[in-house]
Amino acid sequence: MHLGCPVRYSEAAERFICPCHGGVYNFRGEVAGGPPVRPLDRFYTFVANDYVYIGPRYSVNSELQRFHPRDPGEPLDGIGQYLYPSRPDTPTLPSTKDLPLPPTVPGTSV
Amino acid sequence: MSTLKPRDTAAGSNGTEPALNPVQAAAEAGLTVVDWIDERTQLSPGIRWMMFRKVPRGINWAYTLGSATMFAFLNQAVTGVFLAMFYRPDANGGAYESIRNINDNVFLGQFVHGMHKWGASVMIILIFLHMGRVFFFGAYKYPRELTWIIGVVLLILTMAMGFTGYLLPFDQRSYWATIVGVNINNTAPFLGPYIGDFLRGGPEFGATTLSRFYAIHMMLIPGLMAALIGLHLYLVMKLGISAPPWLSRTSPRPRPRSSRSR
Repeated sequence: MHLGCPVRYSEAAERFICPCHGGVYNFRGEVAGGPPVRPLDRFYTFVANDYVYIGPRYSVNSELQRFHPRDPGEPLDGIGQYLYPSRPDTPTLPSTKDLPLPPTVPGTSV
Repeated sequence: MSTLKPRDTAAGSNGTEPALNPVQAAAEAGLTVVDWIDERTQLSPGIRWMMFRKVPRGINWAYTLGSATMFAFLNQAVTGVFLAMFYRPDANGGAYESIRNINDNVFLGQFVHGMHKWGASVMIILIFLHMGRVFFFGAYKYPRELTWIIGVVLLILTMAMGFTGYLLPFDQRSYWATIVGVNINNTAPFLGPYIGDFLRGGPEFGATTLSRFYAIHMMLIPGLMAALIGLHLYLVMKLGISAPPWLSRTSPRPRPRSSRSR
Protein backbone atom coordinates (compact mmCIF):
# COMPACT_ATOMS: atom_id res chain seq x y z
CA MET A 1 0.00 0.00 0.00
CA HIS A 2 1.23 3.44 -0.87
CA LEU A 3 -1.02 5.56 1.39
CA GLY A 4 -3.90 3.22 2.07
CA CYS A 5 -5.64 2.64 -1.22
CA PRO A 6 -6.26 -1.08 -1.67
CA VAL A 7 -3.95 -2.57 -4.31
CA ARG A 8 -5.01 -5.48 -6.48
CA TYR A 9 -3.14 -7.95 -8.62
CA SER A 10 -3.36 -7.21 -12.33
CA GLU A 11 -3.24 -10.41 -14.36
CA ALA A 12 -2.26 -8.58 -17.54
CA ALA A 13 0.64 -6.67 -15.96
CA GLU A 14 1.59 -9.55 -13.61
CA ARG A 15 2.02 -6.88 -10.96
CA PHE A 16 0.13 -5.31 -8.04
CA ILE A 17 -1.25 -1.94 -9.11
CA CYS A 18 -2.39 0.85 -6.78
CA PRO A 19 -5.41 2.62 -8.33
CA CYS A 20 -4.82 5.97 -6.62
CA HIS A 21 -1.40 7.20 -7.68
CA GLY A 22 -0.10 4.42 -9.89
CA GLY A 23 2.16 2.59 -7.46
CA VAL A 24 3.40 -0.70 -8.95
CA TYR A 25 4.66 -3.76 -7.03
CA ASN A 26 6.04 -6.96 -8.49
CA PHE A 27 4.76 -10.42 -7.57
CA ARG A 28 6.91 -10.42 -4.40
CA GLY A 29 5.51 -7.05 -3.32
CA GLU A 30 8.70 -5.11 -4.03
CA VAL A 31 8.26 -1.62 -5.43
CA ALA A 32 8.51 -1.72 -9.21
CA GLY A 33 7.51 1.88 -9.82
CA GLY A 34 5.53 4.87 -8.67
CA PRO A 35 5.50 6.68 -5.34
CA PRO A 36 5.46 3.86 -2.72
CA VAL A 37 8.29 4.11 -0.19
CA ARG A 38 8.48 0.45 0.88
CA PRO A 39 7.31 -2.98 -0.33
CA LEU A 40 3.88 -4.38 0.42
CA ASP A 41 3.35 -5.48 4.01
CA ARG A 42 3.26 -9.24 4.63
CA PHE A 43 1.51 -11.61 6.98
CA TYR A 44 3.03 -14.36 9.07
CA THR A 45 1.68 -17.69 7.90
CA PHE A 46 1.90 -21.13 9.48
CA VAL A 47 0.44 -24.52 8.84
CA ALA A 48 -1.66 -26.30 11.45
CA ASN A 49 -4.55 -28.74 11.30
CA ASP A 50 -3.66 -29.23 7.63
CA TYR A 51 -4.60 -25.62 6.96
CA VAL A 52 -2.61 -22.45 6.32
CA TYR A 53 -3.29 -19.83 8.98
CA ILE A 54 -2.66 -16.12 8.50
CA GLY A 55 -0.93 -14.46 11.46
CA PRO A 56 -0.13 -10.82 12.26
CA ARG A 57 1.01 -8.28 9.73
CA TYR A 58 4.62 -7.15 9.48
CA SER A 59 6.44 -4.61 7.34
CA VAL A 60 9.60 -5.06 5.28
CA ASN A 61 12.16 -2.66 3.90
CA SER A 62 13.47 -2.76 0.36
CA GLU A 63 15.89 -5.59 1.33
CA LEU A 64 12.91 -7.58 2.72
CA GLN A 65 14.15 -7.32 6.31
CA ARG A 66 11.31 -7.67 8.81
CA PHE A 67 10.08 -4.79 10.96
CA HIS A 68 7.17 -4.23 13.29
CA PRO A 69 4.09 -3.21 11.30
CA ARG A 70 4.11 0.39 10.21
CA ASP A 71 1.35 2.56 8.75
CA PRO A 72 1.31 3.08 5.00
CA GLY A 73 3.55 5.77 3.60
CA GLU A 74 6.27 5.40 6.24
CA PRO A 75 9.64 4.42 4.75
CA LEU A 76 11.83 1.81 6.45
CA ASP A 77 15.09 2.28 4.52
CA GLY A 78 17.97 4.25 6.04
CA ILE A 79 16.84 6.57 8.82
CA GLY A 80 13.19 5.89 7.97
CA GLN A 81 12.97 3.15 10.58
CA TYR A 82 13.97 5.68 13.26
CA LEU A 83 11.77 8.52 11.96
CA TYR A 84 8.63 6.41 12.25
CA PRO A 85 8.65 4.48 15.52
CA SER A 86 6.33 1.51 15.80
CA ARG A 87 3.66 1.21 18.46
CA PRO A 88 4.76 -0.07 21.84
CA ASP A 89 1.92 -2.60 21.87
CA THR A 90 2.86 -4.16 18.54
CA PRO A 91 1.24 -7.58 18.30
CA THR A 92 3.58 -10.53 18.54
CA LEU A 93 3.32 -13.90 16.91
CA PRO A 94 0.58 -15.87 18.71
CA SER A 95 1.10 -19.41 19.88
CA THR A 96 0.04 -22.12 17.49
CA LYS A 97 -1.83 -23.97 20.22
CA ASP A 98 -5.60 -23.75 20.64
CA LEU A 99 -6.14 -22.41 17.14
CA PRO A 100 -9.70 -21.94 16.01
CA LEU A 101 -10.63 -24.75 13.71
CA PRO A 102 -11.11 -23.70 10.11
CA PRO A 103 -14.63 -23.84 8.71
CA THR A 104 -15.54 -26.99 6.88
CA VAL A 105 -15.49 -26.68 3.13
CA PRO A 106 -18.81 -27.74 1.62
CA GLY A 107 -18.62 -31.09 -0.16
CA THR A 108 -15.44 -32.24 1.56
CA SER A 109 -16.84 -33.43 4.87
CA VAL A 110 -16.80 -37.20 5.30
CA MET B 1 -32.29 55.07 14.01
CA SER B 2 -34.01 56.83 16.87
CA THR B 3 -33.18 53.95 19.21
CA LEU B 4 -29.49 54.56 18.75
CA LYS B 5 -29.73 58.09 20.08
CA PRO B 6 -30.46 59.09 23.64
CA ARG B 7 -34.12 59.99 23.81
CA ASP B 8 -35.31 63.37 24.83
CA THR B 9 -36.93 62.68 28.16
CA ALA B 10 -37.62 66.28 29.09
CA ALA B 11 -40.74 66.56 26.92
CA GLY B 12 -42.80 64.08 28.85
CA SER B 13 -41.89 65.34 32.26
CA ASN B 14 -44.55 68.05 32.63
CA GLY B 15 -47.35 65.53 33.15
CA THR B 16 -49.57 66.70 30.28
CA GLU B 17 -49.03 63.89 27.79
CA PRO B 18 -51.67 63.55 25.05
CA ALA B 19 -53.62 60.29 24.87
CA LEU B 20 -51.98 57.73 22.59
CA ASN B 21 -53.77 55.54 20.09
CA PRO B 22 -53.04 51.77 20.37
CA VAL B 23 -50.41 51.79 17.59
CA GLN B 24 -48.54 54.64 19.20
CA ALA B 25 -48.84 52.94 22.58
CA ALA B 26 -47.38 49.71 21.18
CA ALA B 27 -44.52 51.59 19.55
CA GLU B 28 -43.92 53.46 22.79
CA ALA B 29 -43.86 50.17 24.73
CA GLY B 30 -41.35 48.71 22.30
CA LEU B 31 -39.13 51.73 22.58
CA THR B 32 -39.37 51.52 26.35
CA VAL B 33 -38.20 47.92 26.30
CA VAL B 34 -35.34 48.75 23.94
CA ASP B 35 -34.35 51.68 26.10
CA TRP B 36 -34.51 49.51 29.23
CA ILE B 37 -32.09 47.02 27.66
CA ASP B 38 -29.87 49.69 26.16
CA GLU B 39 -29.57 51.59 29.42
CA ARG B 40 -28.31 48.46 31.18
CA THR B 41 -26.13 46.97 28.45
CA GLN B 42 -24.90 50.19 26.81
CA LEU B 43 -25.17 48.40 23.49
CA SER B 44 -25.89 51.40 21.30
CA PRO B 45 -22.46 53.04 21.74
CA GLY B 46 -20.91 49.72 20.79
CA ILE B 47 -23.18 49.33 17.78
CA ARG B 48 -22.48 52.92 16.76
CA TRP B 49 -18.73 52.25 17.14
CA MET B 50 -19.07 49.13 15.01
CA MET B 51 -21.36 50.39 12.26
CA PHE B 52 -20.32 54.03 11.81
CA ARG B 53 -16.60 53.62 11.29
CA LYS B 54 -14.50 55.71 8.99
CA VAL B 55 -13.19 53.76 6.02
CA PRO B 56 -10.40 54.92 3.73
CA ARG B 57 -10.98 56.37 0.30
CA GLY B 58 -10.69 54.03 -2.65
CA ILE B 59 -11.99 50.82 -1.12
CA ASN B 60 -13.68 48.53 -3.60
CA TRP B 61 -15.51 45.24 -3.96
CA ALA B 62 -12.41 43.23 -3.07
CA TYR B 63 -12.85 44.49 0.50
CA THR B 64 -16.12 42.55 0.82
CA LEU B 65 -14.46 39.13 0.49
CA GLY B 66 -13.97 38.82 4.25
CA SER B 67 -17.66 39.43 4.89
CA ALA B 68 -18.47 36.96 2.12
CA THR B 69 -16.33 34.35 3.85
CA MET B 70 -18.11 35.00 7.13
CA PHE B 71 -21.50 34.54 5.48
CA ALA B 72 -20.26 31.30 3.94
CA PHE B 73 -19.36 30.20 7.48
CA LEU B 74 -22.81 31.20 8.74
CA ASN B 75 -24.38 29.24 5.87
CA GLN B 76 -22.34 26.19 6.89
CA ALA B 77 -23.41 26.63 10.51
CA VAL B 78 -27.13 26.91 9.73
CA THR B 79 -27.27 24.08 7.17
CA GLY B 80 -25.04 21.96 9.42
CA VAL B 81 -27.48 22.32 12.32
CA PHE B 82 -30.31 21.04 10.14
CA LEU B 83 -28.20 18.16 8.82
CA ALA B 84 -27.26 17.19 12.38
CA MET B 85 -30.97 16.81 13.19
CA PHE B 86 -31.12 13.85 10.81
CA TYR B 87 -27.57 12.47 10.79
CA ARG B 88 -26.47 9.43 12.81
CA PRO B 89 -22.72 8.80 13.28
CA ASP B 90 -23.12 5.03 13.06
CA ALA B 91 -20.33 3.23 11.25
CA ASN B 92 -22.36 0.04 10.68
CA GLY B 93 -24.28 1.46 7.76
CA GLY B 94 -26.37 3.88 9.83
CA ALA B 95 -24.41 6.96 8.80
CA TYR B 96 -24.69 6.19 5.10
CA GLU B 97 -28.34 5.28 5.53
CA SER B 98 -29.13 8.53 7.36
CA ILE B 99 -27.45 10.55 4.59
CA ARG B 100 -29.46 8.61 2.01
CA ASN B 101 -32.58 9.37 4.04
CA ILE B 102 -31.70 13.08 4.09
CA ASN B 103 -31.21 13.09 0.33
CA ASP B 104 -34.26 11.02 -0.60
CA ASN B 105 -36.96 11.53 2.03
CA VAL B 106 -36.42 14.63 4.16
CA PHE B 107 -38.20 17.75 2.91
CA LEU B 108 -35.57 19.90 1.14
CA GLY B 109 -32.96 17.53 2.58
CA GLN B 110 -31.00 17.14 -0.61
CA PHE B 111 -31.04 20.92 -1.06
CA VAL B 112 -29.71 21.58 2.45
CA HIS B 113 -27.13 18.82 2.07
CA GLY B 114 -26.04 20.34 -1.24
CA MET B 115 -25.86 23.80 0.31
CA HIS B 116 -23.55 22.38 2.99
CA LYS B 117 -21.39 20.39 0.56
CA TRP B 118 -20.96 23.06 -2.10
CA GLY B 119 -20.91 25.83 0.49
CA ALA B 120 -17.79 24.22 1.93
CA SER B 121 -16.02 24.57 -1.42
CA VAL B 122 -17.29 28.13 -1.80
CA MET B 123 -15.96 28.96 1.67
CA ILE B 124 -12.49 27.63 0.81
CA ILE B 125 -12.45 29.62 -2.44
CA LEU B 126 -13.60 32.79 -0.68
CA ILE B 127 -10.97 32.35 2.04
CA PHE B 128 -8.20 32.16 -0.53
CA LEU B 129 -9.55 35.17 -2.44
CA HIS B 130 -9.76 37.10 0.84
CA MET B 131 -6.23 36.02 1.76
CA GLY B 132 -4.98 37.07 -1.67
CA ARG B 133 -6.62 40.47 -1.30
CA VAL B 134 -5.02 40.99 2.11
CA PHE B 135 -1.64 39.80 0.84
CA PHE B 136 -1.46 41.75 -2.40
CA PHE B 137 -2.88 44.92 -0.83
CA GLY B 138 -0.31 44.67 1.97
CA ALA B 139 -3.10 44.78 4.55
CA TYR B 140 -1.28 42.29 6.80
CA LYS B 141 1.39 44.83 7.77
CA TYR B 142 1.66 46.70 11.06
CA PRO B 143 -0.54 46.99 13.07
CA ARG B 144 -2.61 44.16 11.58
CA GLU B 145 -0.21 41.21 11.96
CA LEU B 146 -2.31 39.58 14.67
CA THR B 147 -5.40 39.76 12.44
CA TRP B 148 -3.40 37.92 9.77
CA ILE B 149 -2.20 35.27 12.21
CA ILE B 150 -5.74 34.63 13.45
CA GLY B 151 -6.83 34.43 9.82
CA VAL B 152 -4.20 31.77 9.14
CA VAL B 153 -5.44 29.77 12.13
CA LEU B 154 -8.98 30.11 10.78
CA LEU B 155 -7.77 28.84 7.39
CA ILE B 156 -6.22 25.77 9.03
CA LEU B 157 -9.38 25.17 11.06
CA THR B 158 -11.48 25.43 7.90
CA MET B 159 -9.23 22.84 6.25
CA ALA B 160 -9.72 20.60 9.29
CA MET B 161 -13.47 21.08 8.92
CA GLY B 162 -13.25 19.95 5.32
CA PHE B 163 -11.16 16.93 6.28
CA THR B 164 -13.43 15.79 9.10
CA GLY B 165 -16.65 16.57 7.24
CA TYR B 166 -15.60 14.57 4.20
CA LEU B 167 -15.75 11.32 6.17
CA LEU B 168 -19.25 11.79 7.56
CA PRO B 169 -21.31 10.44 4.60
CA PHE B 170 -19.29 7.22 5.11
CA ASP B 171 -19.59 6.00 1.55
CA GLN B 172 -16.74 4.34 -0.35
CA ARG B 173 -15.31 7.63 -1.53
CA SER B 174 -15.20 9.29 1.88
CA TYR B 175 -13.97 6.10 3.58
CA TRP B 176 -10.94 5.57 1.35
CA ALA B 177 -10.21 9.28 0.98
CA THR B 178 -10.03 9.63 4.75
CA ILE B 179 -7.84 6.53 5.11
CA VAL B 180 -5.42 8.08 2.65
CA GLY B 181 -5.70 11.44 4.44
CA VAL B 182 -4.90 9.90 7.81
CA ASN B 183 -1.98 8.02 6.30
CA ILE B 184 -0.62 11.26 4.85
CA ASN B 185 -0.64 12.60 8.42
CA ASN B 186 1.22 9.44 9.43
CA THR B 187 4.15 10.39 7.23
CA ALA B 188 5.16 13.27 9.50
CA PRO B 189 8.50 12.27 11.05
CA PHE B 190 8.53 11.12 14.71
CA LEU B 191 5.03 12.40 15.54
CA GLY B 192 3.30 10.90 12.50
CA PRO B 193 2.29 7.52 13.98
CA TYR B 194 0.88 9.24 17.05
CA ILE B 195 -1.08 11.76 14.98
CA GLY B 196 -2.54 8.85 13.04
CA ASP B 197 -3.52 7.03 16.23
CA PHE B 198 -5.15 10.20 17.54
CA LEU B 199 -7.14 10.78 14.35
CA ARG B 200 -8.29 7.17 14.10
CA GLY B 201 -8.93 6.72 17.80
CA GLY B 202 -6.58 3.72 17.83
CA PRO B 203 -4.61 1.64 15.36
CA GLU B 204 -7.67 0.63 13.34
CA PHE B 205 -9.96 2.79 11.25
CA GLY B 206 -13.53 2.20 12.36
CA ALA B 207 -16.52 3.28 14.41
CA THR B 208 -14.40 5.28 16.87
CA THR B 209 -12.94 7.23 13.98
CA LEU B 210 -16.36 8.24 12.70
CA SER B 211 -17.71 9.40 16.06
CA ARG B 212 -14.44 11.21 16.73
CA PHE B 213 -14.52 13.02 13.39
CA TYR B 214 -18.20 13.85 13.98
CA ALA B 215 -17.45 15.38 17.39
CA ILE B 216 -14.51 17.36 16.01
CA HIS B 217 -16.54 18.49 13.01
CA MET B 218 -19.62 19.74 14.82
CA MET B 219 -18.47 20.63 18.33
CA LEU B 220 -14.78 21.35 18.71
CA ILE B 221 -13.86 23.29 15.58
CA PRO B 222 -17.09 25.31 15.11
CA GLY B 223 -16.75 26.74 18.62
CA LEU B 224 -13.11 27.59 18.06
CA MET B 225 -13.89 29.17 14.70
CA ALA B 226 -16.76 31.26 16.05
CA ALA B 227 -14.55 32.59 18.84
CA LEU B 228 -11.66 33.35 16.50
CA ILE B 229 -13.96 34.99 13.92
CA GLY B 230 -15.22 37.25 16.72
CA LEU B 231 -11.65 38.17 17.63
CA HIS B 232 -10.78 38.68 13.94
CA LEU B 233 -13.74 41.02 13.46
CA TYR B 234 -12.96 42.91 16.66
CA LEU B 235 -9.42 43.54 15.44
CA VAL B 236 -10.67 44.63 12.01
CA MET B 237 -12.95 47.18 13.66
CA LYS B 238 -10.47 48.28 16.28
CA LEU B 239 -7.62 48.81 13.84
CA GLY B 240 -9.69 50.05 10.90
CA ILE B 241 -9.48 49.05 7.27
CA SER B 242 -6.20 49.61 5.46
CA ALA B 243 -6.16 51.94 2.50
CA PRO B 244 -5.52 50.50 -0.95
CA PRO B 245 -1.80 50.46 -1.72
CA TRP B 246 -2.14 52.80 -4.67
CA LEU B 247 -3.25 55.61 -2.35
CA SER B 248 -0.35 57.22 -0.56
CA ARG B 249 -0.95 57.81 3.13
CA THR B 250 0.43 61.32 3.03
CA SER B 251 -1.03 62.48 -0.25
CA PRO B 252 -3.61 65.22 0.20
CA ARG B 253 -7.20 64.67 -0.78
CA PRO B 254 -7.53 65.64 -4.45
CA ARG B 255 -9.22 68.97 -4.82
CA PRO B 256 -12.50 69.12 -6.72
CA ARG B 257 -12.01 69.49 -10.44
CA SER B 258 -13.81 72.85 -10.48
CA SER B 259 -11.27 74.52 -8.19
CA ARG B 260 -8.19 73.37 -10.07
CA SER B 261 -6.37 76.12 -11.90
CA ARG B 262 -4.06 75.40 -14.77
